[in-house]
Amino acid sequence: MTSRLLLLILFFISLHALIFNPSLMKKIFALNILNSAIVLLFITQGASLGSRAPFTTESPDQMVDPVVQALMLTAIVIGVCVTSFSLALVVHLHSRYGSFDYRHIRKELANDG
Amino acid sequence: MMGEMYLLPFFLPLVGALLLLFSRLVSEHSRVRTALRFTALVTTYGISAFFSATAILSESAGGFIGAYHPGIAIRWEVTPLLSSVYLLAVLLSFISELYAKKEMKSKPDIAAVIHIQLAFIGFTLISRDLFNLFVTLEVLGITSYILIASGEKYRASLASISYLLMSSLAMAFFLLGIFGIYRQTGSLDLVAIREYYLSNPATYSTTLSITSIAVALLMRTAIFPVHTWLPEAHASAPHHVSALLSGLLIKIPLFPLALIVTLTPASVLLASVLLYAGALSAILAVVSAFSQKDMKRLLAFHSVSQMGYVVASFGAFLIRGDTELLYIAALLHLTFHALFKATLFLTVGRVIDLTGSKDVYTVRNGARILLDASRSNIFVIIAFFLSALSIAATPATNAFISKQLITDALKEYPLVSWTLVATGAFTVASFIKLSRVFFGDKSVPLPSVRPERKGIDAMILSILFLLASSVAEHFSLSLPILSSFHPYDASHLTKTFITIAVGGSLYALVRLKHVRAFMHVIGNLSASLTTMLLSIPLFIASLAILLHTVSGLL
Amino acid sequence: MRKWSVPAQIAISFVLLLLFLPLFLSQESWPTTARDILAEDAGTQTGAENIVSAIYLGYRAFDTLGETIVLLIALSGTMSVVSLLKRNSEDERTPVSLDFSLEEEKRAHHRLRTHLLEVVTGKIGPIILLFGFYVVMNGHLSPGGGFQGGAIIASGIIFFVLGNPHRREESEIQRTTLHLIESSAFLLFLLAALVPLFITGEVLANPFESKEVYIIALNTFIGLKVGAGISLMCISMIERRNV
Repeated sequence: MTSRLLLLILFFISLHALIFNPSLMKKIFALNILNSAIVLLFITQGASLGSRAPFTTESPDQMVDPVVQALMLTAIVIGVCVTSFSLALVVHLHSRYGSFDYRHIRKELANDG
Repeated sequence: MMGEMYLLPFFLPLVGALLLLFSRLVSEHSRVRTALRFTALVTTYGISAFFSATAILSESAGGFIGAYHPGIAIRWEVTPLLSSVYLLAVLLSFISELYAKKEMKSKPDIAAVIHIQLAFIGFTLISRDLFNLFVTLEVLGITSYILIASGEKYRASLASISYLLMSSLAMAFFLLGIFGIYRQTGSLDLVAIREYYLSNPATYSTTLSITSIAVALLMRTAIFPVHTWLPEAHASAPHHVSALLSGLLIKIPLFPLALIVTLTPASVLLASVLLYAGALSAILAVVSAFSQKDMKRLLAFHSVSQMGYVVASFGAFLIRGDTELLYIAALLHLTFHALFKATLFLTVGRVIDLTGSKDVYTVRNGARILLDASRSNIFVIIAFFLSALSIAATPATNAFISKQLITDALKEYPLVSWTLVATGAFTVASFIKLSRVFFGDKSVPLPSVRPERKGIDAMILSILFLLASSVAEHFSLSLPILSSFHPYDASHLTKTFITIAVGGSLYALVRLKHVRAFMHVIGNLSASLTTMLLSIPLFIASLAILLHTVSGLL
Repeated sequence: MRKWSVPAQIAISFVLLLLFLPLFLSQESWPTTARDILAEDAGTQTGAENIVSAIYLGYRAFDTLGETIVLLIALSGTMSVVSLLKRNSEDERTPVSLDFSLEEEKRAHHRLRTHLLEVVTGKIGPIILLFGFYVVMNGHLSPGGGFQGGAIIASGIIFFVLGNPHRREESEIQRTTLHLIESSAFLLFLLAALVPLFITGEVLANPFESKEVYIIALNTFIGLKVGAGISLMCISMIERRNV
């Protein structure tokens, strides 16, 4: 219960940052934390089933939920890939406009074009 | 075809992409590279189109990939309808790649991305598993981000990162939705989940989860209020990418959406949302489109608007569940829009490339400039006018039938029906505005152009398919299901005539100074990134509360 | 849109938090159906002791294919965007990242390169690579697998690159080799996915008698692909050009 409450707060703090912080770099950080919060939520809930790692040598009643762990593996890899591409884009924009603030970049773009 | 052989047409583009990736290892002008590229094109487009066509003629098939235990494995299902949609996707990707032949040759990784996108369009269509949908949608998202940014312009990079942030936020909520549903049902298989909710009640958590997933899909379809990413993304992408995105990618999420909306008995209320949001989307976007200065933004807003037609019809079908006419209308309009919107982007793209400007108010003499560059550009001109007439629903075009069908089938919802008719008028007006780019104007100087022949084969293919679809459409009017529909009778023709007349007068209004100023304000409206991102959780939460209270009252 | 004031922003986020609260904090217990089925069958059906490996390389191997492709395109997309960055000059005053094309004499004076870096990373590299391969190959018996091991292999390769005292021409060969490894590993993975279609009639099904062979093979292909891909992307980010 406490863990879920903390994850809820973490989720919404990062959501707040993602939506309201003008810096693109901070938005990417926030997206990462958001994804981590969701992954942790799944994992802690899956772990509520037992206390042993999911191996065939363990007794079935005490294993944690393995499906959730496999799903989160995929989710983490996807998150990392999206982060790498977004970082490349943001650094590309920064190299030209000197700022991570998307409002500044938009204004400069409107002046350029 | 046996069992999982149905999956083969979707795997073949991956093989094509692989060949293209290997071609990176050899030097750019070597014969090996050309051979690899040719094999890749044949595999991805030719062979998979062949298998797909075979699948259309066979019956449906389904199963679990790898044939593992149903509780855990991934369910898939191929129907002739889905195979036809896939065939449309193959055609559009082919036209798009053909148009940009030269770029594709020098950048095989971008070409590989287009093939991978095609494969995963297929996988999204056939997937019947929640988490698998998440993975396939993420792949489609990443391919779009890369394709948008492949133009290497800063505007495109900004559009790409905005779309990326909005889409990743939506997909994070999708994951949260999977959390909610898996916790209650213990399964990720859509069929098993639907069975579970037939006998178990849906709580607020369930509604919230389903709404999260549905909004994530709606965002990809660009429906008001989560459409805000589309104008910049489609306007700043390279022309063939805009064609692909507008023509194909915004339509695919509709198919999984139908499955999600029917997941619980209560969630069918979402279909009403689709109906009204679609209509709202159609009218608001077309007014924006009419006010645009940038040619590609104009076309992009029209994509939102036309998708509004499709989604409204789709929603009405899901509410009723029995009037197949609505479903057919939606699918027809979806197909025709794919064809003419892609063509519009490609043809307008030629004019933009040759004149160096996107301003719809100042670019003129387009036809003359195109013909000066190359006599065979006549096909570009023909393709543009065919598509413009189609989107304006002129009689004898393919979309004339689909639009009339939709407005007819939605007769029980007069508000929606008349909104769509009004949208039609504005569509006519904005395409009169856009086609002036092609007409001559002696006061505007002609720029000098290098003789250049590009994308002609793509244009010829487009024209052929537009004409073919129109002919096929008119023949299908004799089918029993459409027997009560007479698009060429007096009432329909009068309606069309009035729409065109109103459209023309709307366009004439542009002469007035006040109207111009108003349009200028609307045209420049663009949502800040904050608003774009905020719209997603707000939409999810408000829909969930709405659905929960309404289903509680019923 | 006008800028939102800070109290308004916090209020909006708080309201959203309250609206989503039931989803996070609901008291329903987590379902055990999947775990029970898997505990029974996973070992015999897939040949893996690690049930998580059994899932993502057996039951839900298709998701893993999607994940591998996400990695493939994201890395190549990143490299193509990185190549757009204008190269900073060789000027010593600008804080350029580790520059591998520097001549040996210049390199001794480069601010960020020290002998410590070269000695340590160069020597540890092979050990990390070995560990990475262990994690990949043993993924079906203990926690690990293709992705985890691939990430470790990538760090091993980066260590080699960091600690390499040789000139750029040698690293050209490294890069082509890495590209070849990545593409071949993907080819082998696709073959492993499609060949069973023609043998047993199902995609991504285990066609072997001793089931472990298939899982070990898949793990190896994924490990190589991920390792080669991530290291290529890191190298391109360091060098600021598309390798």
